[in-house]
Amino acid sequence: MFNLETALATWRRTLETHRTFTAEDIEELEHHIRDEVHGYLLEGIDEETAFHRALHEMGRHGVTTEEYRKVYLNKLPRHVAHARAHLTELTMLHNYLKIAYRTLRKHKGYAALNIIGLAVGLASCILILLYTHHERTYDAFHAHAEDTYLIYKERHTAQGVRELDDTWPPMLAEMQQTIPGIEVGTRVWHRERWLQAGDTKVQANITFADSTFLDVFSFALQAGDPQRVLRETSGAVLSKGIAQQLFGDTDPMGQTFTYDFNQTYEVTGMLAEVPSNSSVGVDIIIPAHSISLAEERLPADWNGSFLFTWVRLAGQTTPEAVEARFPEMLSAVFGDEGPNSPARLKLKLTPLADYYNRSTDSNRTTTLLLLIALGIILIACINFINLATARAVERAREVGMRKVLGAHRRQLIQQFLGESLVTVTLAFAVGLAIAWACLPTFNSVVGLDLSLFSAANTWLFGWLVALWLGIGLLAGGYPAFVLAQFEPVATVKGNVRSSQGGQRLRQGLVVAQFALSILLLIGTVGVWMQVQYMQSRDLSFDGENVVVIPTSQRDFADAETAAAQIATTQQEVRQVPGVISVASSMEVPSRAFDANTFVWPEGWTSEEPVRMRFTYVDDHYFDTYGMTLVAGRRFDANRPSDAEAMIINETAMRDMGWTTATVIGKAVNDMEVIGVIADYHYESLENAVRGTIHRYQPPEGRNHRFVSVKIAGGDVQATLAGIEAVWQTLDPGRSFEFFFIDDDFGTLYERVERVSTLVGYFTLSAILLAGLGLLAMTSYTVVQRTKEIGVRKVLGASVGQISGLLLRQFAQPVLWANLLAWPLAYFFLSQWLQDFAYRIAVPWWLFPVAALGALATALALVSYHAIRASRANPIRALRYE
Amino acid sequence: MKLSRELRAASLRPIILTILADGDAYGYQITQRVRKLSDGRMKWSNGTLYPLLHDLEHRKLVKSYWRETPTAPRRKYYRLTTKGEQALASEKAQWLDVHAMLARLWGLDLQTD
Repeated sequence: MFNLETALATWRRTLETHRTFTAEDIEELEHHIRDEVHGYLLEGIDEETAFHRALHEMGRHGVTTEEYRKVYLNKLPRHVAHARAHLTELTMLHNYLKIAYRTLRKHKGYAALNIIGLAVGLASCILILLYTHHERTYDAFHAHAEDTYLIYKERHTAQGVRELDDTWPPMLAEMQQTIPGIEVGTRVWHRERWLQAGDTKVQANITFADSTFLDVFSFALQAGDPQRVLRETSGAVLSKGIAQQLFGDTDPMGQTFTYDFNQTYEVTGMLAEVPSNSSVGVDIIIPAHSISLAEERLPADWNGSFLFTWVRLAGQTTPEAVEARFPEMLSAVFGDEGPNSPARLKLKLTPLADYYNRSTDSNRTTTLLLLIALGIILIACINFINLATARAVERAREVGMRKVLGAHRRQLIQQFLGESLVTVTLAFAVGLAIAWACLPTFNSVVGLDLSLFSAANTWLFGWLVALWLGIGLLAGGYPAFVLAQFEPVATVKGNVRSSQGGQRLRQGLVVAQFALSILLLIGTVGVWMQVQYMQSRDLSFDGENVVVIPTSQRDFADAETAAAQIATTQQEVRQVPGVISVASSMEVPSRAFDANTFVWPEGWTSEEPVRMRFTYVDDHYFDTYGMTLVAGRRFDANRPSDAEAMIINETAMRDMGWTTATVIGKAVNDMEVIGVIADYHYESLENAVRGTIHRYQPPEGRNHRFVSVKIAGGDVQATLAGIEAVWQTLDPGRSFEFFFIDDDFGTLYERVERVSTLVGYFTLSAILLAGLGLLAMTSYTVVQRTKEIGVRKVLGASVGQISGLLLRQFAQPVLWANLLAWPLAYFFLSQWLQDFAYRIAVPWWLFPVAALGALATALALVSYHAIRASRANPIRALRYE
Repeated sequence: MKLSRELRAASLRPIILTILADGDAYGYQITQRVRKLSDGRMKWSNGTLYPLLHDLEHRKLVKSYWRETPTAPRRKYYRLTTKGEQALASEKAQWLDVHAMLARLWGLDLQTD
């Protein structure tokens, strides 16, 4: 017996198996059949006949699938609704992966070029990201890094504004009494002092700090109670390194040592490993309140400014609110006149999180590196896109065949995206491997101990996944769309040329690549030249063969006896063969000591005093360093009056408004100017030479910290051995330590050299990548123009003419790239150079040289293909016509 | 009279557009109107009608919506859009042109010459 509902259900199922129909389509058709059947029933036709007649009118199988297909194919994403489709897609995924693998294997050269190019780019990026992250998270490990501030001084003087990080001991207490919103504060200062445990003497950089130090800074303790360790009177906290030096392998907790040869401390806490990106270095912490020595005791008055004051602000308090209260405080303490009055001195707050950047300007370097990383990734992506679209021509037939066999555009896009993801995944694996392999070298360049696979690097892998997806989809996306767009008929006929727009895009990408490369090249050479300039500039003193022995009478238990001993030891050193001159001084050129003073020169009319650097030297200092006297005379040990005299440098002379003709005999703060020494550099050339006052102190003087020995260039080793033999008599238990001033001065440029080296390496990789890309692009063009070249040859073009044709095509983007790169390079380079007080002029000749270099590289790369193409037998190219 | 396959396919579009210009209708209604207008002589496979309707919708010449009344089941109605009206006007002009030319060729048009 016929049942309409059963029959309709069967019909529906048939339709549902077709991917072409959506549920809505079927419902619409079902209503139609029901209406038809209803109509026939009214005409007196039986239900079964009516149903079949209605179905027949629909067409074959009740409805022509083909008609639906024609309408929907490539037009509506209807089939997405079908769960069935997913199953198919899964099967297809397998197929895509297989095809991707086979394509890569079949074109090993192309795949290697693509993968290695991207991998090198990625490796560069990974290294840059690691370094940048380290630099940008300086001090971030402190729990309150964002709310913790250093209070620093901004001194406004006639010579401009200077920032000084030191403040006065009573300031913190004063602030806590008068300014609301300060949760906790701590004062910190550092001194190089000797520690002794048993017979072991160790010189350490000691951190003196208030008991609140560990409340403000989150240095973790390996042993000891952070709440108590610094609140005990004779307890100290040691780092592992210092503990190892003092106590060897015995457990340091509870051990005792003496500080400065007279005060005994017990180790009550041990510091855990301090992260390498901490700008507050801690070797050993001694509570400030425990110091008993007069010279170390915190003065209760506002006369000395030498320590760092750190505060943590309460939740709602802004640094500006605190800063606004300072003038009132300064005025109450110092009055409204003088150098510390609110008019001449501003107190400011700078967050701990920005402290490192503020003192080293690290954000500039990291921004520069990040921009380079971005450039490298862009170049690598452009290569990837260009190579993939270039290969597209060869793959056009595959696309055509797939289309003819019924592949949807979407499926093709999926396939090519899948392939690009496979390539990118491989590139990532290789890139990680390269980064891992290069990390030790990289670490030695940046002077850090970064590691790739560590728990702290989860952020990196987040970035890498994002990069992986980004590059895979973006770099693979464009070629995928281009490939999927090919007309099947044209491709199967083997007749594919990329569109005008596509060519223009590729040209644009090549221009971008070259512009980036030229920009980086000019930048790198510019930075390198500045570094060279700084290292080779005449420092206005002769540091060759000057050996410096850091020595201070404070290094000894009995300072008074030691002072005399140091002086006599110096006399003995003078007798060592090869020693030319020996001098004592408070600082040496590479180790400037930032001591400053205010002076009122004779006849000074302005109310404001002049701010000067000052240092102590003995009577041999200027000779030992070969510094030039431009007026007056040197210190003379036989003139007692020289204790109240000074020798200034040329800048100081100019700052005080004198000339070489007028300066001698002038009084400065009741001291007589007896000589003027030519400006010499005492710190990195990033900073300008400042006015400096040299005062005299005999070799026994208590302020001397260095003994400099000028030796003859002959047998340096023998002379050094001789000096050491003499020096050892001073304190047999101590090792002989020294450095050459030249080497030491060189270390001042470590940071900028590091930038230069890093920029250099990454520029090299960027340029290599761009070259690789160009090589690929040429091969693409040559393939595209094979037939054209064939025709030209047949019509009589020479090899030279055809090579010229191709070369012209690539010379053009290089010229455009120069146009883009030059102004940018000029801008960035001159900006970077601004930071150096002594700098090179932006080297103009570099621009055309870089341009020619880029052009030559491009032409060399292009020539290979151009000559090969133009020498090929035209018959081969034309055979298929 | 039986129309050739090509002509059937070509004429379906203006016919559907014209019927929809009279008012919204669902698929079955359209076939019924055509059947009645041609006295049953004009018939397409309905499998052609729906794909064409969907194609017209895709080209934004018509718009579909489902309507349910208490008396009748849910049906998918089609409505002519402004773009559809323009398309109809253009189709009409073309058909009339063809018609006029054929009439002239066949000497049926007495008004010219």
